[in-house]
Amino acid sequence: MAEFTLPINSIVKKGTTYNADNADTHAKRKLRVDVYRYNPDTNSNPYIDTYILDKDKFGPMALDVLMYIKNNVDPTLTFRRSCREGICGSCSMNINGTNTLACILNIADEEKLKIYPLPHMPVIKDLVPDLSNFYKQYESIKPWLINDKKPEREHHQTQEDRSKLDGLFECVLCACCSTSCPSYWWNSDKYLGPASLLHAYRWIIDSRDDAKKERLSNLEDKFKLFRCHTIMNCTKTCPKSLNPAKAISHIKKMLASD
Amino acid sequence: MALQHWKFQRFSAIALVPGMLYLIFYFLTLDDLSYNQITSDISSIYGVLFIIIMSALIFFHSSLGIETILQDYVHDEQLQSLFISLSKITHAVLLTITLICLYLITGY
Repeated sequence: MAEFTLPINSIVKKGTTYNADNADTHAKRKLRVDVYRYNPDTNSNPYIDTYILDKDKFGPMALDVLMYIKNNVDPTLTFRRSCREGICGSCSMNINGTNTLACILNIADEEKLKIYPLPHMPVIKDLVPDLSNFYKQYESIKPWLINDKKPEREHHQTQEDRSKLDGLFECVLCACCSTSCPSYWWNSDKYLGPASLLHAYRWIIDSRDDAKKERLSNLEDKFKLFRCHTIMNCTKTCPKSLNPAKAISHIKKMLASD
Repeated sequence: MALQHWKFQRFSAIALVPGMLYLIFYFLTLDDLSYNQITSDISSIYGVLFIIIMSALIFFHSSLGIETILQDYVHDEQLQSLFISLSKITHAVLLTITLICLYLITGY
């Protein structure tokens, strides 16, 4: 059954306020950043730390803010990051209520930021969610080319067939879409979620792949695919401007017309 | 089964659109109709057929929708099957009551 009460450790408490370099009184352009903090080692409740910063001391992206905090204010702050250009998908988090990649979110015009980990995922520490289940689901759609024919060189593809993959192959598996989906929140153990389904569609329509039927029949399940109720949060939140909801509807149409 | 459920839910929704539009327009003109005109509309063969088809579609679509909601929110499988069965029985009973009422009103 749905749970209507929350465990005691889920209550988020107020943490420390850091007034970095006396930004509160000296900075011309101030930025107030509220960051979700959780340390599993202390077995205490999560809390919100507040950082008052001088915007002239760091770059224009949300990741620059986090890097500044970690390097200059509070080295205990934990988050994932790598490429800082929206390619690796590591720095996905919830900023001001929207799941996004911190490295490509411009905060130059913001005066306040609220930074939380991706919603409805187990938190390992601070802004680092546990994505093990997400990756298992991705693995379950067999995200590789299935083709028994062995060409002398590469598998050829026409330009038209290749263009069908546009808007799909760009997905960096940041999990912003899946963790914004209410259906995924309620049934993340059984529903594959928008990211895995977008990738499943990417392989279904790949002209070089021979396993279209198997891939489709693997998805014909009341939970794996049909928990998608076209809520469209996935498309709204995707930091790469992709459209997982459209890919899912294409899969449903393909199943219905087969 | 999952695909069939999804198809039925879409088809019944689409089938309900013209019927609901007709009902809305009919209710908007209700002020201009007399009691006798309304009862004769309901008692006509077209009125009876319309009500039977619409009731069947509405309860069928509702049953499919409630089943989806129960699958979403009730995670215990036994409890989920129980609630889905109860929902189906309730919808069947409601449809039967509707048809009995229609018989009592029109005499068909």
